[in-house]
Amino acid sequence: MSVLLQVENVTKHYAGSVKGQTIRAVDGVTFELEHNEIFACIGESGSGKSTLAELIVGLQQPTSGTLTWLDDARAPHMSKPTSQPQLVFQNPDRSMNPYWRIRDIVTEPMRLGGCPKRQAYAEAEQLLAKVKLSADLLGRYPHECSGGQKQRIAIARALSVSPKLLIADEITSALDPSTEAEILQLLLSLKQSEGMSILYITHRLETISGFADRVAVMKNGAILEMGETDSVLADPQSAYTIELLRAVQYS
Amino acid sequence: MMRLSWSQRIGVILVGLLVCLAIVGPMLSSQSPSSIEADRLLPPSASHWLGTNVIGQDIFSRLVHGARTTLFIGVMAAGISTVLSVALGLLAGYSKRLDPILNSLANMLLVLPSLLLILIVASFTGGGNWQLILTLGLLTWPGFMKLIRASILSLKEREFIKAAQLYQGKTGYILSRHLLPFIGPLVRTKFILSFRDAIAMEASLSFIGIGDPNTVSWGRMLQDAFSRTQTFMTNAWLWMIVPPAAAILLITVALALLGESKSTGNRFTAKLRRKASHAAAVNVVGTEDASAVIVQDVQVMYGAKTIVQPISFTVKQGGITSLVGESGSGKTTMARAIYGLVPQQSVEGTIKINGHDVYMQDEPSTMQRWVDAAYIFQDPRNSFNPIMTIGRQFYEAMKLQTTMEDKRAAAVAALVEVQLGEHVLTQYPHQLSGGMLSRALIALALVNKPKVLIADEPTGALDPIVKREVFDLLVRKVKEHRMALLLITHDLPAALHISDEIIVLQEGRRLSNEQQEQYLRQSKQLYPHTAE
Repeated sequence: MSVLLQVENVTKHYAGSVKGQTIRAVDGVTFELEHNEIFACIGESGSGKSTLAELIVGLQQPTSGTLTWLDDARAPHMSKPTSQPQLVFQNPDRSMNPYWRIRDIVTEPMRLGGCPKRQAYAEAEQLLAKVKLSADLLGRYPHECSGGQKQRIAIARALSVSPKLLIADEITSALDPSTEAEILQLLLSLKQSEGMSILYITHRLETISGFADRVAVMKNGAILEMGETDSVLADPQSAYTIELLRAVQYS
Repeated sequence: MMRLSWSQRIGVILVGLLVCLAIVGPMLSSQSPSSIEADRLLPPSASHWLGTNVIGQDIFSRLVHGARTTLFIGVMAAGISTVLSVALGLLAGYSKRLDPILNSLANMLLVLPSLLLILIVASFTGGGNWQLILTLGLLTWPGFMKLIRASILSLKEREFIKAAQLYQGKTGYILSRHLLPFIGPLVRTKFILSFRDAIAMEASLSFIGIGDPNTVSWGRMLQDAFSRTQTFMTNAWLWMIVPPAAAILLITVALALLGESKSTGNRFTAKLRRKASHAAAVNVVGTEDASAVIVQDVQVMYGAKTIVQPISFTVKQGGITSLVGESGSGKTTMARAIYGLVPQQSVEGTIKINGHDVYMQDEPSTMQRWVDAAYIFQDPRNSFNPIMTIGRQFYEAMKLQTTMEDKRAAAVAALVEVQLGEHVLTQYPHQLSGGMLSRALIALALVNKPKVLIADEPTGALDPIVKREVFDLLVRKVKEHRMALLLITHDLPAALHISDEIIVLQEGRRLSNEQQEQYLRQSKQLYPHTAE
């Protein structure tokens, strides 16, 4: 498989509340994302995984290190948003404008990318079909949809610009286990049908087996362990991973 | 569609009437407002509907022309002030670069005494209508601008703004399409309040004689009336003072009514829905039963909506029962009903804790919270009062001890049980980590040695490793003290691990045994890794 994104020694430091103190949110992270893979990033709150996501999509700039896109289809200055990585946020209630209808929410990236409103609306139905939702939802407001539906809508919005990389930042943490399983299933099938890569960020180690191709375990802004999901789960190397695994197992 | 409350409707009608008066009135009146052809101080008649004033001007004509001036000044000043506060508030809230400039400008204007400023400007410029409009418009924006800025500051942290930035939406687009709808209600209120203030200000300035003597306004009519002693020598004050004063009063009251916001929000209206058959089935349960919790034919309804379908189960002394289900399955409602936290009229059936009825028909329940049963809520941060020390909250909950020394000793003992030191008693909740707070909450639940513990997702807000520690501690303490534990959770592997009995709720209904077996089998497939 070919490499989509190279993350090399990326750090992100913030000034702390005390003068002279720095907070190392991301501290020298290096990894490669490949085409058409699901890469899971595991860590507890404060481990820097969400900052890493924001660095990759460009909402924040790294303090040092480089992010290199090795994708031919991608224009260097992002003049066309087509291959721009897309981020799906943790809380669907905060990631959608409550005053907007689903139709407008789903097509927002297309319309901002210059697509005429009528054409964007016409495609909205197909976008919802991709995430297995009925077109009836298009005329509704977010508060009229369930949590699982809202996360699917957020995924549909991200898909509207056919991204090469979808970043899912704890997108199931507000959902029930069975809805969570449905969303994971959806992401798996989208990976195949859309041919995109997914960076899946979570604190729930138990959800990634059978789902993610590779996994990185993060703590305090650094990657402790990285490898094929099955081998990391079967034979964890770092003490932290072992502890994490033990916390979710009941024997 | 906006639904209006009755007070807003009255406001709309009154404002509408006055606006009509301003538009149509001058066409009805044959007299010019400033002509002095008629006799002085004439009482109301067919030719002069509201009589004439001291210098023989027709009062009706002056009143309706004055309405035009007054409403025009109000609308324009309110418009300028509203546009300024919205535009500057949006910009200051959203743009980090403009904020210091705009905010300090607003602070400066807020500090200046605006009435004094308006007086100075008005008296220097002679106080024409436009001078007044501009002065009022340019000086009265900072208050609401600060309000709008504050709400934008918090709104821009929401992820849909980040998403729009990610899709390369321009600042103008984000401000107008995403943020403006949120401050719509503020804008409406601001406009109405400014309108009212501008009218009041115009009337006051005219009344003290500032302004162009050739224009007619309600305030000027009052000033005319009050400045001449003849007004009060006869009945003339009745038609010289009452009409403009009433007009000013009406418009300010109407605008105040319009600006009044009604309280919105859906309230559950719990309705009494008791069937006779249920009342008959109550007496079967004996108090000497070994079960710590008895739930019999319990149904919870909010109005016509059934949250929990009739359900019966018991938890034995020293036993652990888990209520498992997805969000919205009714498990938390069930737990709250058992602890007596649901209004009595919404609950049907019998619930007994430690032999005490939780819901009695007419008298308060004899079940003592904290003593017979304790309830642990999901987020420990929300369970402790942030402005009280942990110690004070312990002492408040303690029912068995009477003296301060006993209370302190018991609190320390409870804290030691959950591996927390004595110093925690003098600390505030924000000084403790999430895991420590969870432990403190468990200690608080243990301190009265209740027979029953109800725990609603007790570890939901914690990181995985801390979560496991706290969970294990909770289970160990429950077993040590032989308490009955009712655990509400959606963590099925954990529930399977510790429980004597599992009850699966789905849409308010308890699954039958076969359905439950199937549900458990399916969930094992969801997370193959944890089901070892």
